[in-house]
Amino acid sequence: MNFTVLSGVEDNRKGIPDARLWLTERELPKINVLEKENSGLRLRLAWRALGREENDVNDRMPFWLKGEKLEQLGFRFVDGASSGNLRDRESESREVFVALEYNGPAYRDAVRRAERALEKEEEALRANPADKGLLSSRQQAKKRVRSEELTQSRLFAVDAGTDPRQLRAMYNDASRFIVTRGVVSLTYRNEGDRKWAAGYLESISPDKVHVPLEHRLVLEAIPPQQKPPPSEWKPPSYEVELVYGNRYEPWITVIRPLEIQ
Amino acid sequence: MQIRSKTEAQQRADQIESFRAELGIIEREHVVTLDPGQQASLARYHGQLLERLAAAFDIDATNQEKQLSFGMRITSFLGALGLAASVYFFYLQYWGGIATKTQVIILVAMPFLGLVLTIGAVRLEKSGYFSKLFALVSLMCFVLNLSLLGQIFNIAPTPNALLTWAMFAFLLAYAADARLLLAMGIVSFAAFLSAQAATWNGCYWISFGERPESFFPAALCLFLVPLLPHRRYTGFAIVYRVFAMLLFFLPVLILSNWGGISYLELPKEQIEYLYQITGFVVSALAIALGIRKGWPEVVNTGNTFFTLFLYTKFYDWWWDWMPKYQFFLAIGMTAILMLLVLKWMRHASIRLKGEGAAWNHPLSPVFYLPPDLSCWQG
Repeated sequence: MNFTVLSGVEDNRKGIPDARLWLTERELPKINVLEKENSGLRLRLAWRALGREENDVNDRMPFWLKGEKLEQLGFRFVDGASSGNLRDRESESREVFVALEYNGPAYRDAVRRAERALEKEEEALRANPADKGLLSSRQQAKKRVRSEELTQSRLFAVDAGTDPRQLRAMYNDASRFIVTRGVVSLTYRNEGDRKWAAGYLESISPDKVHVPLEHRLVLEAIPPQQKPPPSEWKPPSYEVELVYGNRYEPWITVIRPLEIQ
Repeated sequence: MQIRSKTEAQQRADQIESFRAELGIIEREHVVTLDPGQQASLARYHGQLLERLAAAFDIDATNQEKQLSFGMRITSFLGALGLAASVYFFYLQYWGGIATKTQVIILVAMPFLGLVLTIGAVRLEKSGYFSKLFALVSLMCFVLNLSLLGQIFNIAPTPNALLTWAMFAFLLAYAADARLLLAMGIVSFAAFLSAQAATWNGCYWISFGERPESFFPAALCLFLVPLLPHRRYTGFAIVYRVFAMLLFFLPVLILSNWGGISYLELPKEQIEYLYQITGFVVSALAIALGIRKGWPEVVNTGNTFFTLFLYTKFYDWWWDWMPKYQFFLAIGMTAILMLLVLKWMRHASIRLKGEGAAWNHPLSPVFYLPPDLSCWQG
């Protein structure tokens, strides 16, 4: 079994990688579960999806995961049926491949959504300047824009399919798109007394990346930044070159510090 | 008579102990008295036999030894759990400071080392306390091996790991005659097969628990395994049958109440009725089969689930409709009725066995009892 595992690792890492891209601490923050008991270090692949609603920026029900797309993924469902006629099959889930886009139109759309939300709040405040609730909402909207610009992950799930090669052919820029395994479950959205099928992107797999000792030493050598005041946002302190092999399993090739701008 | 396992050896030793006690009573009541020569040869024969059994299987010759052994088994179990947890946390504590190649070498070597220690302990120590302890630690090392290799190389989880853990647990269980490891192997194997069943039905393998029918193939396989001879292994057949029945009846119980999670393309209510009937029929059949084959664990599990199916139905029918005292009275009366039915079945079975024994063995005591008294035997 160990031989099978290790030869699989070898197989994954030989040949031309499926994806090779630079991500920052925004997309790969450190995780340390059981910090006192576990000396291993892993980075979490922070990914997001744009939901149907304007305010949904970290929605696991992407706007594109519905109808025909769900049928392509192998789900069987009835759209628009009345609530009483449906069997309780919300838990049905399938393994698929997901395309993740780094710093592309989906991210820019998320920033625009945040900016539009701020504009709306400012407009409302101009009409009613004495309203404290609106003042606080504008503050929140400002924070959202700032967080989108500086700290939020720029990695977005933009498509899913059952054939990874087909997905790669559609998103062929290996320095901007990752194709990885994921799990989609079928759920229903209520509209009046009708139910509409929607896909819920449960997870991607693997969603954590192990930091080997040689890279860990680099990461630990990066000086800790001065703690920013609460009004400031902490910019990412490192960037990572992440490579995906032909079995869609990632590994880290380089970690280096980022200059604070 | 050829004795192949520790269980058989212990049974024989217990039989000798009972025989000696009964002979003492018989002699005191002057029913039969052995002459000194007969007593001496009987004592010599039993003494030699017990010595041989103790040398070969490390059996407990007296009740005190049995109590001590029980205590040692508990200590060995707790020690094994402690050691296994210690190995797990020790590795987690230090693995981050080790280079990848060394990590892999340690992870691959640890279960092998555990296996060698287990086999060595099996050969050197007849009681099996140390071999079982090493076996559990070894299994923990193997679980650690695959899960950490998966983490180090960022491999997506796969059900094949469950199959591999199951195979290793079975290997250790059969090598060390350890029921705990057998149970672990069964759980891993059942999880693997159920994950496969979920995949065959188009679901993601990790969500196999959400579809109770995924467990049926595992239940069937496990029920068939003890049809292969298992005399050398202590209680293995019982463990297989109990797990098989749990893996069948628990999903049936769930589906009889929540038909919506079934694979069947039928209306929810029909699925629930179907599984309610299946539950009653199969648990009744299990009781009958258990009585016929002399498998008490099958009878007891069948009984438990028959009662559970009955009580869940009672709850559905009467909980809202009846005053609570009447509901619980109905439960109590049903229990008494079931007790009477089971008692009748037990007597019928004893009578049947008695007749069979009398037919097969002319010296059987049942042969001399009138048919209406034979039910008081056993």
